[in-house]
Amino acid sequence: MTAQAVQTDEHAVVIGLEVHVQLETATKIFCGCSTAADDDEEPNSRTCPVCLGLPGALPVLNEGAVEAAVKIGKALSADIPERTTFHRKNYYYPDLPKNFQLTQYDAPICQEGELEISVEGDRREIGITRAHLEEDPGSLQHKGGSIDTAEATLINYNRAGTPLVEIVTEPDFRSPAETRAFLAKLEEVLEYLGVFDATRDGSLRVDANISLVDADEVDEEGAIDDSVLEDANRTEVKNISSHKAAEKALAYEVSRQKNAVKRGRALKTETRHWDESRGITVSMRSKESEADYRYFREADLPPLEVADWKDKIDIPELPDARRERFVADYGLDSEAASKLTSTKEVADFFEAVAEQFDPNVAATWVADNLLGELNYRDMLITDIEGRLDEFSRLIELVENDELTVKNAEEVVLRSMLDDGDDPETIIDREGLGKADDDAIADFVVEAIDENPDAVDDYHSGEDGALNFLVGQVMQKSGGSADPGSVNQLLREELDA
Amino acid sequence: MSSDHTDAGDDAHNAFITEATIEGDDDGPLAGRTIAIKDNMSTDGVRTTCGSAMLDEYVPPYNATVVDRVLEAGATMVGKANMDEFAMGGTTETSAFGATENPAAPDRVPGGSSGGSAAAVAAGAADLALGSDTGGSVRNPASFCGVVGIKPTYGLVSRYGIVAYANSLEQVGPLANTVEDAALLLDVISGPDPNDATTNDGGADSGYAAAADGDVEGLTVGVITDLIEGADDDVVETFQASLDDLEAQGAEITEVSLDSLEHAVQAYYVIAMSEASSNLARFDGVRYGPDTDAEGNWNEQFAAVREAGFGPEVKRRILLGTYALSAGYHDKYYKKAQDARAWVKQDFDDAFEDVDVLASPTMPVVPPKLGESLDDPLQLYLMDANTVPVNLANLPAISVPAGDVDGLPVGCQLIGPKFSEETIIRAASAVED
Amino acid sequence: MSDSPVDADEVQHVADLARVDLDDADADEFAAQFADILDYFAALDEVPEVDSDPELVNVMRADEVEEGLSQDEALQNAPETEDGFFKGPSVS
Repeated sequence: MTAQAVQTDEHAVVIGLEVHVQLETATKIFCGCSTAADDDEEPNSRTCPVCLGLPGALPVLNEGAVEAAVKIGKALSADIPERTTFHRKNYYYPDLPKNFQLTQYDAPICQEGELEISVEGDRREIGITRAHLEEDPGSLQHKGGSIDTAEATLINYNRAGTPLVEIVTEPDFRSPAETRAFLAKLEEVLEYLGVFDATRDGSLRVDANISLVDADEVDEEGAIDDSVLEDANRTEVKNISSHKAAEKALAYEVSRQKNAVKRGRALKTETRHWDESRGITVSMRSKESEADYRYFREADLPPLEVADWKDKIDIPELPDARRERFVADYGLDSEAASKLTSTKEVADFFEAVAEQFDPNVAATWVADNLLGELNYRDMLITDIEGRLDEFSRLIELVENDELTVKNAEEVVLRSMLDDGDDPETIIDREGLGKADDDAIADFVVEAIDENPDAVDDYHSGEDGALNFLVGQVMQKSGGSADPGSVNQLLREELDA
Repeated sequence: MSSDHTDAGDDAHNAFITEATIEGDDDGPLAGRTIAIKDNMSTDGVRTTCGSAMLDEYVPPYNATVVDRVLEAGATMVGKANMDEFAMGGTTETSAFGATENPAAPDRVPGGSSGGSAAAVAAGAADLALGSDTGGSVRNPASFCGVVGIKPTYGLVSRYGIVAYANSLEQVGPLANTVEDAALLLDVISGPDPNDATTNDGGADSGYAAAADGDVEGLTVGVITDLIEGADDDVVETFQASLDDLEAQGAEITEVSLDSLEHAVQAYYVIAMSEASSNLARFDGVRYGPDTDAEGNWNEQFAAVREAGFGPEVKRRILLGTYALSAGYHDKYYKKAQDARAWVKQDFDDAFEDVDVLASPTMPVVPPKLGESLDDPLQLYLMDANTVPVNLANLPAISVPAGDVDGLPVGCQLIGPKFSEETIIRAASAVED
Repeated sequence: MSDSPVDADEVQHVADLARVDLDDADADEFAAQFADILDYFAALDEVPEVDSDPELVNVMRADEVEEGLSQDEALQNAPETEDGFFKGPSVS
């Protein structure tokens, strides 16, 4: 288990992440406002006294958010303590309706977990220090400029109160590539749990802490002394919103810091803002010294005692385990297993199909044919989830020799997706039914009678003649005959 | 539902900030009764100022749960009652809308912070009133105005819609001219509320009005000696008379001492100010609040709005609360205050193993003259010594008129274990003549 | 007097944290008052550590949508709005 330490001459890179994920609950964390945002929704049209911070409003905790947090804890193999509480983080900012954020402080809902990642074949455990629940602030628009130059701020509280889970990792990353692998894996796991949607704008926000240390302070397993880390410079990089951006932003930072060191410049402990459009990090105006958040327990929210929920709540089989099981139980190769577990819904669909047919047949149909056609049409497996029966019927028709593979793949499946019709309807309409055996026997005789020269050529030993005759029979049958059996029948007739 | 929006000044004692009528339902236990609502309780469509310039024009788009309940019970609201600014005070003199005069004692304060509520009831401008009690703000004005006021067990009544001052300490409480009426109002407002996660089942299916039957045979009453020591002699004498009265009706009077009370006022103020500094952070002029001509960026405008909108007492408490929570001082002040609070709770719990109720004068003094109290904030805080321990311990207490000293009202405070509202109501009804 | 009096500078620092403007006269006045008050509060040092259990635990609501405020209601008390947004000064 070696760490992919990025060597910058004498330096190694140490990175830790703070990841905020929006939860896919129906309502906000402390009130009954919906979390569903239409693209064209009006600002400040999805609020209530609670999430707007009106005087007199009180928070009430959403049970769905707690369940989601417990599922996340379970998936990350984290501990859930006996008691967990909410605190106020007090600071002033226009996106905070109450000018404090409800979050968790010294008693978070999840502690000490881990997530395994794999980078270029190497596996590593990334330690998860904690995960906790908190509320999302509102959204700001800087009118007439950027955050530095705007003349006014426009505020929309529709997003305020959306449930967030903040996941904090140990400083275990040794390269930007590792952070990307981690975030991609984390997103996959969270989607499998049904608590997260990567396609939702702003659903993932990442802050990274990155330090440069002497290469010889890091041993071959990637371990490093706490005291060394404490003494090292630390740069916080904010405004990262995808796993790809994480790798880009941090790779840029590593370069920037490496160059600074080469030129003899000291590295500051500072906060930098990732500018996606320019591909650089920018130093944020140095704020007041270490903010004083004056944390204290939120008296309006009674504590949670949900340690036993970990046993009571079920989580689905996670992607890695499922992939391994597909290889072991279905005898699939790892590439097929990967394709078939790309999402939980694909995996579920595949297994439903595999219940009825040979797994390899099922795998070919789902991984190669179906996913390809869906992809081409920008469709998802969830679009046809209700049509599992039709899809199975299609496979059955092929397995029973009632439909050729070619017709099934190229005509019927595509029409099923494009027109929404079921296999039988399409087959009738297109006249694709395999001709019955008698009809084919007749076509064979006819072809022989109509093509005496070809017959003579066959008897003279010309293979091409047989193919010609097969083609004739195929034409007569409108393409619905099986070429293999036609070949067989012709030989029998001709050799007789 | 009509809403007559007029400024305070029409009523003789300045008990109201806004006189407005909201008709209640046709029938219910409060049908035909009028009620004054303290101006820190949200009333949909009716200005709610909390006695502050900060909310001079604020009109809530929703009702507090207790407002819904009293209207559904048939009461008609006649106005929003005057109060100390954001409930911070004991005389109603910090209101941005002028002081309220005590109807039972001319030229004297009505007490606070629910001074307008108590005065409205004492003057007959309303049959009933709702106040809020964070450190005595229902019991203090009840005592000074010669009416009845109840502070329920924490969590008995919903705080949804009540503008928060110190959320771990406060409760909405009824004020009325008789114990039975106060108890009836408590029946209406109490009970769990899904919009307030700190409410409990204590008040569900209550029968408080029926408990005002005066039957105190065998009731054991412990007089808290620590709270007698700091009180004026005249007040103690009047209070003693009500104890004799109870004894004559079959109650057994003993003495109790609670060591923790020595630190109660400090603990109360540190906790209350800390919570207040956070609860009042939302007043920044964005979603509500006065407009400002101030120039500058966000921080500068916030600071200007808050400087202009808050009075000196509110500023004082916000600053002290911020200080008590800040890095380096949190353990010294806030954490120690929580320890003191736990100690007070335990002390009361232990005492209730030996007695049914505890008693003390509600206030250590008679109502001071208007204008006399505001020079020394610390002196004002010390006046709360008899009432704050009850809030720290989350317990129920009632103030019932005990008599007067040269016409100046004196109140008797009876405290019970949690959820013992019926017991203290019963005992108070026996004190009442 | 207390052994570490709060001076006007410290009062200004706290006023910054609390976003409340104070002029020098106010800061001085508060500093004098605070000295007495904090001195009084210092008695809390004597209090022993006591644990207490919370009264209520696990109070939650179901993950179901409830009706909220209309845009008009949400904006009705704002001093300044623009196209449905709350409007305030710049952040920097």
